[in-house]
Amino acid sequence: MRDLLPRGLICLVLALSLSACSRGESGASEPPGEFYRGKTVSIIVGSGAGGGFDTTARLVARHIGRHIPGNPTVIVVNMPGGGGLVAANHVYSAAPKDGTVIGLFHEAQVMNQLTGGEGVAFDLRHFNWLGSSYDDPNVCIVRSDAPAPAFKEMIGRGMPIAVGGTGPGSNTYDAPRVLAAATGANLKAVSGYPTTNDVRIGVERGEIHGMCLGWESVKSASGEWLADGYAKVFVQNGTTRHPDLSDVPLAMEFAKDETSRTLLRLVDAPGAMAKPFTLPPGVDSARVEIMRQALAATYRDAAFLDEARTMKLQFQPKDAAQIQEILNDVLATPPDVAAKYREIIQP
Amino acid sequence: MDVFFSALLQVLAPHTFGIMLVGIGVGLLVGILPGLGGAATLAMMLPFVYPMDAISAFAFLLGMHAVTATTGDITSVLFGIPGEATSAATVLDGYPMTRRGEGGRALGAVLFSSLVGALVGAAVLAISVPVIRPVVLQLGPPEFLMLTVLGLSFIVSLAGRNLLKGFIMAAFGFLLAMVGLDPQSSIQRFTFGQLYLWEGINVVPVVVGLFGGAEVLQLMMTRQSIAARRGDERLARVWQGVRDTLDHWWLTLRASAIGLGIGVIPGMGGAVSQFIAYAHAQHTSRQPETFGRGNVEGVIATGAVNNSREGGNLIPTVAFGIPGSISMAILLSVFLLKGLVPGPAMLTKNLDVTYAMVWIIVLSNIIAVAVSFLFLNQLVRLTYVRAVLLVPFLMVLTAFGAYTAHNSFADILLMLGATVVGVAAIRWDWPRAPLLLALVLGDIAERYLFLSYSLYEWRWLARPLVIAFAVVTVAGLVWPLVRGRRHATAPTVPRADVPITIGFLLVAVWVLYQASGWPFRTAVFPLATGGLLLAFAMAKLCAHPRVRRAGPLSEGSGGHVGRGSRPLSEETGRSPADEIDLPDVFATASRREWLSALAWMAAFFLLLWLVGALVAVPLFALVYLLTAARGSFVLAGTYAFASWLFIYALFDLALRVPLPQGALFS
Repeated sequence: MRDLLPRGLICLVLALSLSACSRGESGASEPPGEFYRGKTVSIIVGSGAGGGFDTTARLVARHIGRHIPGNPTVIVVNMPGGGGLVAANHVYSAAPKDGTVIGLFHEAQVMNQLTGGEGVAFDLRHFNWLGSSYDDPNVCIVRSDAPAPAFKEMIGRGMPIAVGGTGPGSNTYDAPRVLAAATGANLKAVSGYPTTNDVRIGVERGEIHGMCLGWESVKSASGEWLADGYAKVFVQNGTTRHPDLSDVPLAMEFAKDETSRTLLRLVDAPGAMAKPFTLPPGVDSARVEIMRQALAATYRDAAFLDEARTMKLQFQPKDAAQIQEILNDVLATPPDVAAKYREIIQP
Repeated sequence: MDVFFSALLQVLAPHTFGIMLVGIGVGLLVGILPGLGGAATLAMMLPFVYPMDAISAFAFLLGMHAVTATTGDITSVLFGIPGEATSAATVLDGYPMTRRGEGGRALGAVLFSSLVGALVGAAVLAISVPVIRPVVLQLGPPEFLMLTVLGLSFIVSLAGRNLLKGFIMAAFGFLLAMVGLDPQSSIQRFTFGQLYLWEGINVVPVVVGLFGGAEVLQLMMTRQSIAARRGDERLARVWQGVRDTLDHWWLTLRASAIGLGIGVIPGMGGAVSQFIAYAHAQHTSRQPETFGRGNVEGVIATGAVNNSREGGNLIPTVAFGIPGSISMAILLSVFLLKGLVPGPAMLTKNLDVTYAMVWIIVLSNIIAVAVSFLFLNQLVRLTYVRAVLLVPFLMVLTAFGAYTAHNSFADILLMLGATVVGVAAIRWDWPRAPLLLALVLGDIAERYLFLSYSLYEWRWLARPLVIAFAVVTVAGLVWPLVRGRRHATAPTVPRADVPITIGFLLVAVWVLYQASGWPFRTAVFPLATGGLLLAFAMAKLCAHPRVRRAGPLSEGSGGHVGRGSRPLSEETGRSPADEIDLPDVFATASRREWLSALAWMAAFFLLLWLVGALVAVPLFALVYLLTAARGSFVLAGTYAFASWLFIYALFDLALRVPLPQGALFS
């Protein structure tokens, strides 16, 4: 048996090289319309199964195939790590550039790129964006029995209002830090909760008074709190009041100076292009166009919208040009403001 | 009461019941197969519930989820390969029982105790939903912290006789838990610039390597079957396991209570509760020294805790709409999908749904255990075939099992690293369980310490429940001392302990050097742990006997956990300890056997990396069975084809699980 061993290994190597040779086909010459027939398109999601990104990806994956010529199979692959950083790097450089890989990772990576975060090996402006899913402004909620439930009262207050968050890089933590710095509101951002669900339970236990996060998440996960008056939205970020929240003040209205206004705009900017789908840079432009149209058609699809409604998801898509504009705008921030932002979110 | 039974009728309605059976079938499969986490499966199956009514939807998903934990224990017991982190402690005693030829009994015990655990969990879910809310709200970050401290105190018992070695392994595990981005400051700790390590070290690949990888390597070197002795094949052995569970009914109930208690608290992982129940079983056992070498009590406790936890997990989900785990978060989305509002309404308007969930847990567990019993004999027989025949299959189990963590080949590398640690631990008698426990708890301990401090500063120490947990912890540490010293026999000291300890010493020094440059909050845990590791390693070196080789190995057995080596017992085969001790292949294998096993293992994983699962698995099976196992061409060909069909049809086509694609093809 032992003298057979090396021969066995040689066989393995031989068979391996044979099988490697037999697979050397590439498909660049066929007409773009037929390319996707029989292919599998993967949506690479920058977070684990079960989260908001994953849910959106799976919902889109179930419907988008119908709108791509050739009706390919569409699957979801989870690639968590670094708040989407791993997936963004992967889609940017490692993933195949034939249009069969779609990326979906956290839009807040734009802040990571702006502040020169470690591990950023991409330029978001060079991706082939397909479209984003939601317009999701950041808002803060507070329990109605908190000592100072109105934003106005928090400014210059002695005792801080504690809002819980996961950690730096997440808007549950960064947003209240910037809010406090830009308006003088006495908000204390408590970081270290494992997930936003743990933050919610912290609010119920009463150890923190509230939390800041996207309006869509508030509606879907804490809608009951708002409906029965247990908690309320006390401030919203962004430049204009959200139609749902016409009586809630904008943080912008309390900004101390022009830099503060810029900082507030920055912290909210990614929310306008929440959950964006993209193709890697370098994909053939005809295929990019096919995918852009497919995504747009999916967002108009009646069956898709029905399903989204039962899941309490309300899509407010932005197209590639709008995403590009937001990215250009954010990434054109003067270096001194970016440095200031970075300093504020430092714990 | 009327609602309670009408809910049963609703679940038993032919349509709903049929859907539940499908769910159970999928759950059984997912539990046994590696490469499919419970949560990922739930997410994949979610679309199927859109057209269903609420109760059918839960019958499908909850039925599936409830049985995953049950069958997940089967691979732990039979092959020593835990499918998920929550089945790791089952390996500790279940696998040694299998090797002793008592696989049937171990499976009987783990399945039946799972069933009891599930029933207890469901019963408590049924009665506690109205009253649980205030109780859960009493437990905040400081209490979570104290629970982790309580869990950590069990390191002492998991280390057993080799107390210093146990502490060293635990400190090392703690350091592994520190790897990644510090959640407080986002500073990288011990990541070597690798993006993969930013998220920290995932427990699943570590568990699979530490236990499973090491076992596969062991099997490649042995000429025998997994079961070293051909046991009694009749089903009677299975009933023996059932009887064991009934005999230890009080332990079963206590373990179930532990699972429930920890399951109710959102934020505490499942692996924690299993180790706590296991250590508790050892604490209270009459034969604590046989734990880790096939004590059925260890199997019973780990089985019961797993399934009662599921009932516990559901409580905060139903009562608050706050999920305690990812799986529960997915179930919660079903609530929303079906227009149900978790919270008080589940006890009034939607009481039938709540009770239906209870019945679904009960029925699906009974069905799962009954189905498993039908196949038990076939499963156990697998452990009697020549081990080499199982090697390709088990290799796939370990590879796919690890790959679920991030769908990245780095998961497999991490698993292989853990395999090296596991092999070394077996060979030179270092306990593996403390390392794993510390890895699981380290991150939680640090997180909740700082969270408690940011919320309350030091006032958290004065909270009544914190004090209560502290008392329980101290009592648990003192109790074994009061009961008297368990074993006076000195542990054998392998010569390799010195270089290994020096290795740990160097790690400690490097950690201290690295951490000294970080800000206080980021550095304090690594510094403390590194300091402890340094101290333990020095103590170990000082305690090392000057004699070259500690005298003849005593046949007296010690109470250490993590199946260890007893080199002499195999050769003499006469000592009383032989009744429970198993041959240690790593100690007796020749250099050639080592080389051959390692070369095959390297070949498999290299192949997997180069050409992906669909080519590598059948190819390896074919060549390995023809040469190493000297099987006939028909056998090898059939095996290879079957493995290809299995992976292609089930993973690639039906379930669409991402598999390693192969570096050459991408």
